[in-house]
Amino acid sequence: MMILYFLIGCSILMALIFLCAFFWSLKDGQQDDMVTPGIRILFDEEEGIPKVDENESLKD
Amino acid sequence: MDTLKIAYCYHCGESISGLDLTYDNKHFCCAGCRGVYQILSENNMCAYYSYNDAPGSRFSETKHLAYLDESSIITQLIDYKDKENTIVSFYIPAIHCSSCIWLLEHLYKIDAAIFKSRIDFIKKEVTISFKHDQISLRNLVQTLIHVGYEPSISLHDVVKENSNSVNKDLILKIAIVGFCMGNVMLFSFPEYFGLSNFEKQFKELFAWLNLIFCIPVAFYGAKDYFTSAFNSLKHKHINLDTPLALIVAVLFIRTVLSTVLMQEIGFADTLTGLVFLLLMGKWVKQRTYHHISFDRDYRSYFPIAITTLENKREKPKAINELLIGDRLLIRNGELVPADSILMRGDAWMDMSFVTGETEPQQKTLGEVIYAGGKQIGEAIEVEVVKLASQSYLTSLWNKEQYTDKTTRNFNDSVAKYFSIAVFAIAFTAMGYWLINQDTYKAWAAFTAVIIVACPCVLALSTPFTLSAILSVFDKKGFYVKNTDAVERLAQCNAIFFDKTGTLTTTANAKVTFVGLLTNEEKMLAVSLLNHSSHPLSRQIVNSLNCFSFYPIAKYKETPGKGIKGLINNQMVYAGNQNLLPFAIEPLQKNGVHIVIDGAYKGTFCVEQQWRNALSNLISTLQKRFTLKVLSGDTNKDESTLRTFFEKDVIFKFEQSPHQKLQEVLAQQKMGEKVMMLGDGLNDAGALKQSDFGIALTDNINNFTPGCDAILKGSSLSYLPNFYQLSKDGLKIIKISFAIAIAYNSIGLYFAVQGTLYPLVAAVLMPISTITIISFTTIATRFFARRNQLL
Repeated sequence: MMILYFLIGCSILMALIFLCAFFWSLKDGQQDDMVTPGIRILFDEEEGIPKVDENESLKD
Repeated sequence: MDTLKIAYCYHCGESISGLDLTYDNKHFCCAGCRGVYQILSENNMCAYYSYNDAPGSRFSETKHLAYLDESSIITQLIDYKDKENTIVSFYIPAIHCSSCIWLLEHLYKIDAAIFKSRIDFIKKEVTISFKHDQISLRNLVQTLIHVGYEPSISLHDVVKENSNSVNKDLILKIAIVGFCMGNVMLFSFPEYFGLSNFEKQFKELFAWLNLIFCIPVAFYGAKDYFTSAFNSLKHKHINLDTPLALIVAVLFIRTVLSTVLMQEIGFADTLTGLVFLLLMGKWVKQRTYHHISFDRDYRSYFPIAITTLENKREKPKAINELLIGDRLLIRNGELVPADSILMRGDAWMDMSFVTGETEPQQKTLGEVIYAGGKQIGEAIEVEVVKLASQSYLTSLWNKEQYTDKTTRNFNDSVAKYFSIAVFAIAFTAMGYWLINQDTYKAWAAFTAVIIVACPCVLALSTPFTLSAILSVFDKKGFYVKNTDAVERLAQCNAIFFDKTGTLTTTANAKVTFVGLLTNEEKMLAVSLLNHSSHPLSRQIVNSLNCFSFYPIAKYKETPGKGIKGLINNQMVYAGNQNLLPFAIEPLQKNGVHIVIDGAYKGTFCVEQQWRNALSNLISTLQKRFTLKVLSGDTNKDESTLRTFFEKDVIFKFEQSPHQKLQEVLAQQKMGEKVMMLGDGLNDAGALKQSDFGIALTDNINNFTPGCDAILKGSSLSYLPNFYQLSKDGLKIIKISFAIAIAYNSIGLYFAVQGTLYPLVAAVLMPISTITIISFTTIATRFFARRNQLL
């Protein structure tokens, strides 16, 4: 039953990872705007896909 | 004689009358709308029109944007700048549908220098990243205006306040405390169900793990409660946070001791659960309305820059940099930003911002023009005599006399007695066991009493009840700033009304015509008036229900005076006496005079319309409140007002903003709680001074002065119901307090005997919390229904 010590450690570690992921999303501003992305996804991507430079969009 | 059939503008959806512009077989109401369509079609962006029908908004006149070239102003506006790129955010009031999002996020199609634009739909904010070498900020704003989305750039933008960070901090705390609580619950479960001998070896581990999880909860999650309790003790009074901080401390110390000394699980589950619930209550309370701002002051109304004249050359200058003696050029429709003296030009000042007076006033050379006046007519030159921050208007906000509105709420007043009672019981129990020579039980009983008598229910029932009430108000068009304001609403016993825009409505004015017009002449007048966007013209056209118009030639609009045009070879004039080519003997002095082909025909009088169901509202309110009407206008409507109000209600006319404020102050000195209803800047001081200031508006996106609540004009008749519900809300809080005490007595029964097991505490707390939260929710709905608000 010593394996339980290991498993408990794992469970805490996993939970910590999720907590950190939440911090990340909060800092990233994912929780700031809950409405617009839902509308944005409904737009058709006609002709040329927007020429948004990936490097640019990562900058901010 | 050709009349035109009714059609709707492809861009903005307004009915097309008079001019009909076509392009691509589509009809447009004005050159502005057609211009937007042209730009969009040239850039292959007609998808804009496919998401919604007529998504555009009507075009406003061009603005002077020269100030956007000034580097000192640019640096104040932008969010971020590096060698190539600039990021800027604008508030755009016109954002209202998915087409707006689509268009503004595809700006790169119009100009490749704009490489990224993102919309926050709720805040109506667009964040644009652009290459500042290829497009200037001024051109960017110009582009936005060309596609029909004019950003609102006011002085307030320069003084950006970061209100979001407080909320983020709280969410972070909730996340951490929630995480700790979940884990603590997990490790406490074996204890709840009883451990078999074999599992006993884990008991110690679980106890230590729980203790570790308690540390961030007590020191980070509950930090605010400790600081608040400490501060209130320093000021020698007790607020609700004091007993809460004490409980957290006691729980933590007991958990530490039982873990370190006895390797037993302490009250970790209760501690983490308690802090989590408290933070949740705080979060519910911090409800925000992104689309409404309650703390507007003069800065939201003022532009950020104005044209100054230096050695006869125009130069834009930021308003907060204006100096005494600066020469300003005020164009038609621009605001005078600081108290100044008229130096040149024909000044017609619309002072409705400041005084509520709707008629423009003529100023003579050398006369002082107060800040907030809007010039109607030709450009004038003025000289600044007072700094913008010290002008007559801004002094309304800077007054020291505003009393602190944070009156003690129910919670804090109860907290004191509650704490005393808890201490009395705790010390009695401890004394009893000490007399009986049982030190362990004395300690256990003392701490247990403090833990059980937790006022957390009290801390939760208030935010949950009041925020449930807020969302009921919300649905009826009554937006209250925060939960504390609801408590203040319930305490009001006097109501002061502003007249113009509050008791009357600007939306549907009553138009009467003095004189005689034949049908033919009516058509002529309407065809002329239909061309003007002036509110008076629109109101007259709307009232006449004419749907066919003659084409017009030689149309000319003289701001502040009126309009003229050649229709069917007859010269038609509509406006005030200064416009007319000859003197007339008007049948009615104020109004829009109509002259057709050199003959005076009569005058349109636009009378303000009283709001719907006003007499019902007033008669309901009269029974419970002291009423008063404070108007900036003349007493021309006094007799009509009397028909609504009883004889003893006081009316005061020609009140300046300062007099209104003094009036509120005087009533408060008499010990009454004043509710003020107003709409304009002229009420701003009184709204701020009153115990509960309500700004009335017909369009929620319009500017409203700083206040405690914003009420839609159409919901004014619900005011007594809103008041009643807020009173019922306080009743609900008191009942839930009684329920909480009932639960606590059960816990106390065990606690004083020193036999409170952590398990009992851990079960009792969530049960009482769930009871209270469901009680408050159900009771609020019940009362809302009884008050016909649901």
